[in-house]
Amino acid sequence: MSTAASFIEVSNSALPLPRRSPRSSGTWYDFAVARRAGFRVISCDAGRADTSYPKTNVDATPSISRTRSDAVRFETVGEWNTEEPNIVTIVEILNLIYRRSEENDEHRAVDDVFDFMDDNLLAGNFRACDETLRLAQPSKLLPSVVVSFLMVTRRAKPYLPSRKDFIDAAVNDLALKRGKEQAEKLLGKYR
Amino acid sequence: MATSYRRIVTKNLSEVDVATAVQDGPHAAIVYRSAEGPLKILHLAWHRDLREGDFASQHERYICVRPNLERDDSVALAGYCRRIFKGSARHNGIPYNLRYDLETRFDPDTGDLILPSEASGLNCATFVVQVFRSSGNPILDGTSWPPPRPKDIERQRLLVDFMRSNPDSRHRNPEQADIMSREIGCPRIRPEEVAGACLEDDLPARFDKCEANGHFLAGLLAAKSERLVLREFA
Repeated sequence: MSTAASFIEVSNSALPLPRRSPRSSGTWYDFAVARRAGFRVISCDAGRADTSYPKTNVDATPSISRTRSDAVRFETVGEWNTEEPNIVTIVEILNLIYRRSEENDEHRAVDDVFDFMDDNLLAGNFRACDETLRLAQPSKLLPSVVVSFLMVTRRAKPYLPSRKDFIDAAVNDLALKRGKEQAEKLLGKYR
Repeated sequence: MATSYRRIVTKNLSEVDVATAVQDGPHAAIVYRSAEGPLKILHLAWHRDLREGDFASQHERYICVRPNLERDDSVALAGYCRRIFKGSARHNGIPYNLRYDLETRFDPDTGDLILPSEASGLNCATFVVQVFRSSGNPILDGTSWPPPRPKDIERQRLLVDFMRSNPDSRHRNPEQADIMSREIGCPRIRPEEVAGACLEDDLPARFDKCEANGHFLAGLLAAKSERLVLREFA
């Protein structure tokens, strides 16, 4: 972990938060992401005369985002997780998910995907999530497990550049097994 | 694409089904398979009271409808429901409200509820709607709902009164009742209409289909409740 930004501005744009920038902009979702990544909100100047959410409210509900989607500013202190992802852990979890897929233990494989990705997203480890998607081989996964990867990362896609390649590979692989139309029908909506 | 009554399931439930029942009033829930195999039921019972339980002991009260989803979507959605319940321990629960707010959703990454500033919570029906919608599989089009029907306003008033003066202090919350009272008169998605949406082949379903199917399911529920009562007295 390295100490990073001390100020975040959240505006109406949809730009993802740069990792080391002291100022950045994005939607309320970016704000939620920033908080998960370790930023602590110390004051909140909710613009547009919206005074209904003072800082106490924002801090009092750590996992429920109560922000306007436009022009909200937050002064923050904290750390942005810039650690290198642990490749060994990622490979281990992927191997576990492959094995469960091979054994048709799909519910547990699905839970492994949700748990691993969720824990990392909560910790702000977007690089670990992105690396997981980069390394994952859709051909070794059950379609339901592929869907789980896509479902869990749907909102975080601006932070996960490898997601696009993952979905393309998954569609191609499924097209071989079930035909292109079926592959697009199942996976296309998660793009 | 049409209404398909074969989607009403009484046994061999799928990975994810939408259930509706009449308890103290109409209710909606999601039934899904646990990782261990048995079916679970997830529902917003009341203010900050999200519950998961075994479905086997409650199945007689419910009518289940299987939404028109690919099996792979359903399996992933079951995992998503498990995640939402796990994630609910991280926050202070879901506030209960009357209004359906399009901006309210569950964060697919974490299962956390995201409430925009104007939103006040969810209710049993909109909870089910938002779980499906947040996963990328919307079952109904909430924008097609009309202003409240007379019975909706009656029900909304009843719910506000219940929140304000519930005999059980654990379920009484006058502050939330104040918030809810300002929402009386908003469009109301009825629980049976949520299940009714799942009778449609073509999702997300629009209001007219959901309403007609909801009436049909409410009739079935009434008959089912009557049978249960008769059996209890037999």
